[in-house]
Amino acid sequence: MLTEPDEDLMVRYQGGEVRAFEVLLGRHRKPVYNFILRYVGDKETAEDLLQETFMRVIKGAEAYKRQAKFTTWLYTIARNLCVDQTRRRKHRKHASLDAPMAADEDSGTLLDVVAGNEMPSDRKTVNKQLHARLQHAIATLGDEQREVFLMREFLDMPFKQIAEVVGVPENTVKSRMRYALEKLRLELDEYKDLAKAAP
Amino acid sequence: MTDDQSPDDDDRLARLYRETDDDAEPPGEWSSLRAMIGAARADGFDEEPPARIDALLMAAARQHAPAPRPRWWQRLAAWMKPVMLHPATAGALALVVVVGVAGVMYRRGDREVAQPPAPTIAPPVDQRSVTTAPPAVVTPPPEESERGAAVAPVAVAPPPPAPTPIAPRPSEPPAGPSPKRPPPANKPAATAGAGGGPTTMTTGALDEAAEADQLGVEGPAPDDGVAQVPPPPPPPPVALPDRQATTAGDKGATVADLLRLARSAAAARDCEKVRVLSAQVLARDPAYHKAVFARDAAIAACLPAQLGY
Repeated sequence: MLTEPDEDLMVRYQGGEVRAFEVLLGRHRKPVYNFILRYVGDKETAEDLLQETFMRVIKGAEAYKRQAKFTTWLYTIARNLCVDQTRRRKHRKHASLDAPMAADEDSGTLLDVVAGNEMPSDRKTVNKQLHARLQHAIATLGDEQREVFLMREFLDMPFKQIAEVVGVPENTVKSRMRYALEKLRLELDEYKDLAKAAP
Repeated sequence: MTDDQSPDDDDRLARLYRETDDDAEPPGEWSSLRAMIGAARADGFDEEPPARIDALLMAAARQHAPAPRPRWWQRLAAWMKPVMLHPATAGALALVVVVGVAGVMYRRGDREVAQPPAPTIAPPVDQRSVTTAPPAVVTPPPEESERGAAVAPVAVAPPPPAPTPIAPRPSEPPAGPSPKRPPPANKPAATAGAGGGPTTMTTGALDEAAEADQLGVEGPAPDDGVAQVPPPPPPPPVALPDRQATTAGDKGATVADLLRLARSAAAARDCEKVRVLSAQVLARDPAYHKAVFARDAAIAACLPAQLGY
């Protein structure tokens, strides 16, 4: 069952096998969660949206058709929830520069790693800085660019499938991706060498 | 964002994500960015969702799990159940089953199952009752009934076109009431009792026939009132007592009766009949056969010597 395609597992769950849904959840929970987290930029909201995403899968299982690709269906649900959430907030909240980057209080703030001019020497600090800058760079992307970038990089979806989920032509998706990559490259250019040099 | 993707950009993206089959070098500026992102993800940029969400989702999945889909025969049975439980449908189906079974039995030739078995042994008939006419299926013409002749039951069979009566013997008295035995095939029974008419049996033959009847002659009961299939043509009048005696022994006649018949046959020098009766007596009561039957002088003359009595 662990190697079965998603579609077969969904059909099994339609037949009442809860174990099949457990496999599906274990297979997709982390990518979907990180997609949502990077999209909305808020852990609490990301957890709620992750839960809501899979709840919709559970409630819509009986209506699922074997012909539909499961990941397309799942990511469409997640993406639509993120879009709705973003619209509700009117103005997307950027990560606060003085907010802790992690749950523990010793993790420091984004301001600590972004504003510093000197390069840290140890690997842990480099990673912390890089994560903060990457999160910040993603958050500064436009919604359309960000969702395409996250689907391609974090969900490993081909452009054609992204076009199906987003509902735009494939060339538009590629164009958005190109803009997103260019913007991220400029934002993270100073960390390019650092990431290579870090032990 | 406008759709301003040029073929060159398209090619760069294809090379970046290895979507083409060729081994073209990915664009350097983007590939280093991807490498940095990949390193960050490998170093903990990707986060694990809280385990409590998994527990909540699994509980919800169990609660909302779709019911197992029934098989096609289960769906068919569920659909048929209310229909089959309807009294009218059940009655109609029962009728179909009964008719079907009857049809199968009919096709297999089992029709006899529903018919009563044919009587094998007719009850003894009182000779006096023979004179009374049993209910006949075919009533003789009125003029014959008015002449007071007892009419024997006549089987439903067309009379022969040209009856040839047998001339009576000189010593034969006028025919009395006809016994219930069916007349010979070449003689209509209704004419047997007609006053002064020719009869088919001699007096002795009639006596023997009556005696045989008393012993239990095969054939339908006189008062059964059911039309019977015409019996096979009886033997000639002379042979009739023989057959009746033979069958009488089979129908429960006592050895004493058989002895009396055998004496009569021996007196008539009918050794063949005597031997038949002897065999019957021997089969019924060997001791009686040895002590009484074979001791009779007239009978012993007809019996073979190898009996050894």
